[in-house]
Amino acid sequence: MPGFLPKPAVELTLRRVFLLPFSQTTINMAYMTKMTRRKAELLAEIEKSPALSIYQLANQCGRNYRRVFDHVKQLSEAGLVNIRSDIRNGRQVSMVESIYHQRLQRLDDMFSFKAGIDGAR
Amino acid sequence: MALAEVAARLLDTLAPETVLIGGVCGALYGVERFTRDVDLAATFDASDIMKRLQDAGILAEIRRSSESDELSWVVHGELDGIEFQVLPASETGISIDSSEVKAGLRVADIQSFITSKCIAGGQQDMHDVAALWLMHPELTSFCREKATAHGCLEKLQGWLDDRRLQQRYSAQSG
Repeated sequence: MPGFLPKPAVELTLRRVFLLPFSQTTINMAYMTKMTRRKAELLAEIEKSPALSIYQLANQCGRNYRRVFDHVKQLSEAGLVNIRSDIRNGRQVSMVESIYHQRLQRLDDMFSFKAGIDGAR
Repeated sequence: MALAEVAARLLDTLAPETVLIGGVCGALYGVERFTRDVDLAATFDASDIMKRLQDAGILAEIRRSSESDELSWVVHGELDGIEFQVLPASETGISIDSSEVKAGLRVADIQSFITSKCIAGGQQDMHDVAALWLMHPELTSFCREKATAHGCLEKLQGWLDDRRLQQRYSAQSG
């Protein structure tokens, strides 16, 4: 999918990820990343996988760590993926999550919240 | 991730002929609604499902029905305190062949998911279909066709007219 991501697509993504009304999704597009085929493939891989570290992602795709790191950073700046710090075996790692992980997380947050209320009763 | 972990474990146990449906599947497609259980659809028989679950140490039971308006069987169980149901894919409109993988979980494709919701036809199901309709205008005719075929178009229209739902999901609003 070469070319630039159209603004409405980014706004929709932001709106779905952060549940913002359209009035709050006006963003500066100056930094908008160019969506190359490699980045589109990487995004597809992130979306179908469980949350992975950048190292695991590079291994899974059979690609150079540095290139994957750069592409993930650009996808993150475009609001298409989220990078979260985590500790694995005492080391800090950067976990890459897609919109789908965030949706699952929100579902689990709702579940825990409701379970907490039910427990208190 | 309580629900997601239970869903992943059940999918592993019942792979590859099983997909996620219900609230967890809806959440992956962007529907924001509370759910407390995990629903799956499987292409193989209830007794085979029971065997696989028992082999994995998961407690479950089969509930069969001969009523024409009910599913012929449903496998009910509980894993890590979370209830789950496995339903027959053929009776719920789910096509396993066109499933998708999202965040490591195998889910029904969006058309199958909408079909299953229209077959179920409850208020919660119509909420989910309306949300997907609003988020995916390209699926309008598909949703209308399925809702008409399963006699739930009026109920669905009620949700489509809901202002809060429109504000939350409509790609055209703002």
